[in-house]
Amino acid sequence: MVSLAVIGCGAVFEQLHALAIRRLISGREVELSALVDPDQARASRYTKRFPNAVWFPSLEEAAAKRSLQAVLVASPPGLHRQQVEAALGLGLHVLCEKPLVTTATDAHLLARVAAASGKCLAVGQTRRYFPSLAHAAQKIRAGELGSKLTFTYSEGGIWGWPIASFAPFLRATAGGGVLTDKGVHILDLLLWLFGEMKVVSSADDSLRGGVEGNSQLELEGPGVRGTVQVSWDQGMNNGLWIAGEKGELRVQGDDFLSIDIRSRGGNWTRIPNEVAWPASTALNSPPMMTPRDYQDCVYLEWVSFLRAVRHGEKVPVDASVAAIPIGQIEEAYRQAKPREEKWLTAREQESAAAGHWRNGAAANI
Amino acid sequence: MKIAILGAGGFLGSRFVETGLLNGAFEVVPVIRGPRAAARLARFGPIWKSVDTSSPEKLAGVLTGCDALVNATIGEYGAMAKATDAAWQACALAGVRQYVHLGTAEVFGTVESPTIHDDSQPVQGHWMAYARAKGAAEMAVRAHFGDQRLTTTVLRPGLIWGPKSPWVEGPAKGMLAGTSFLANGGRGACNLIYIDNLVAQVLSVVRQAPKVSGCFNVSDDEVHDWRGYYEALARQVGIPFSAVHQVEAASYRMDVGDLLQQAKGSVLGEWLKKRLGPAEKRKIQHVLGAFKKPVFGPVGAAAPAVTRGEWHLQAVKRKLPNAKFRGAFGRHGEIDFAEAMARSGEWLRASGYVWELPK
Repeated sequence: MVSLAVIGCGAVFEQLHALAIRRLISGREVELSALVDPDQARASRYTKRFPNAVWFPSLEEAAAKRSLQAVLVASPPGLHRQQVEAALGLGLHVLCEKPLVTTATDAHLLARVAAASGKCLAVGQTRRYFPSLAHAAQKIRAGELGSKLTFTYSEGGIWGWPIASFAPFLRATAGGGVLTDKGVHILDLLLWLFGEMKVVSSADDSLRGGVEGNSQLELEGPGVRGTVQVSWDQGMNNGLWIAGEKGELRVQGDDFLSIDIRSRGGNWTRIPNEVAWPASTALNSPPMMTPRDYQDCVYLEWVSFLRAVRHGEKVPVDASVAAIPIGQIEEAYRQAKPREEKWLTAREQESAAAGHWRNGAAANI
Repeated sequence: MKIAILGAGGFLGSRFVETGLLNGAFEVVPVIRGPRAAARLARFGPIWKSVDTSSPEKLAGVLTGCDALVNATIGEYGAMAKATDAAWQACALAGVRQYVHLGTAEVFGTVESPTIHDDSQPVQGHWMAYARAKGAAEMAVRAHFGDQRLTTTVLRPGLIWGPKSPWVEGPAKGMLAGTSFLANGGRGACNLIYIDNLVAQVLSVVRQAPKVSGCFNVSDDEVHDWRGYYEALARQVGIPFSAVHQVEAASYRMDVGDLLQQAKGSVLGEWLKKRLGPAEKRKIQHVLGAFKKPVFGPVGAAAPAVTRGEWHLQAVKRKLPNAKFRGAFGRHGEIDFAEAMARSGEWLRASGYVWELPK
């Protein structure tokens, strides 16, 4: 069993990882030995569910008193760089929640630190385990859509995380808004589907002193171009639509079971996803799983990480891979222009444009 | 003029804040209950006042110097009346002269009687937990009507529509998925109020500072049935109106989804919601997810998705009159249905509700 510590006992651990770790404990894959959080009361909420886990205020103290092999970093993004570096320095394997860091420079630095340590540094880009997206990737790679691909991706929803601080909404602590938070997932999956693309244009709705709640990007790469829009303050027609010279496919929102596909100009057909991943760390003939919800995907992400720890297998997203979307986000922020909001009054639109965070002109906000 | 808005992180509250900040016509104090509610305000920076709104003393601390408090919160159904009263008490403590309570026309259900008027009392025993809670909250506010320390105004909007509204987004999604429906030919009254018109009406009240407390039904002036509303929305998302299912009035039967929704809003449901941790909720969702039965093959016409809530709304008999409000406050800065629908269409297109690939 891999002895594990968790850094950051907030909403991300509670909502995403706690259930997966309990499944892994039941399967005798891991033991949760330490809960690291500056707030003892917050960490103590989990001691009933994880009776072998002991609270520590710092990773150094946890490592000194418990025999650890790996760590989950689930703290606010602004703390990741220092915590990941410290964990690797202590000889621990690391699974870090996204975004790994908020600058590509820091991501490359961590890639070098991980390589030098010989330990695994995996990044929690859970959508790599979404069966519909894996299915779409298979179709693209098999050439079923043809060449000259275009795509559009929309993802919006009203923020629902039971967070305890305002850190995600402040540029100083989060590095940005929805593009940093959700966009990093989307840009990673687009990297997986289409390869590396450059940011052609970027627009968002952040005013000076704020972070964006809505972001729109145009991206272009070899043989592919498309648009992305992401929001955390409104719903959208969530999904991915890809078209090539031969065919088209659609992934609807959070549909885990199927994708829609058609030849160019033909009729849509809904086909089941039959993509599966190893569901345990067994080296020979592990059971395979097709996830049916987000919890399953987080579980499979953990299995992938543990297989890397135990058998040296490659993880889908390491620090070098994670650096690419982080770099795209930095570029998007550099290029950011005011988002068009044509449903506002003319005066409101002018005011929002004048007060845009990248606009040096005086604003009335 | 300095106006505090309670529930500033919600759909209506955030538009109120946006109007204040981008138009600059009034000073706004956005009040929220905690970090979770800050997402819709984050574009403006940390402008919010985060406070325990169940405590009149704590809430009063952020209301000092305000001319009015507009209460646009929903919160937990079981605690809504108490929270509403706490907001009123906070105004009294802070010396705020006006309290505007956003109620809902839903307290009158399907408006069975033509004699329902602005001063009628909410119907008793409404099947919808939300309507029962809003009714109780309204009565808690009305209990203060005789108190001379401040003026209390209850506004009862119908369906608040426009950009980012669930009453635009939901039907548009249904139309794209082929699941939207109209009951009884869509002849039920669609009691609409465009979000910016509601903001304008709230501002009318605050600016005119009535001396007497009272209740007012508020709505757009035009009278629409559901068919007219859906026809206009279908044009905006580029879906032929014929794709909207026409459902016989007698065909609705409560299903498992409706029962679950109803259970969620019950006292037991609220009690469970508070006690179940996120992990337990996720586990329940995970287990329920296994019962999903996907349909593969040619993507054809989908079946209508008939929920009790939509069914009920489409059965509303008549539009509530807004003459009392117009008589008291007039009409200032509001827009008509065509312009409001055009703006909603802009938002729908910008939000991906019209599938388009890059040119």
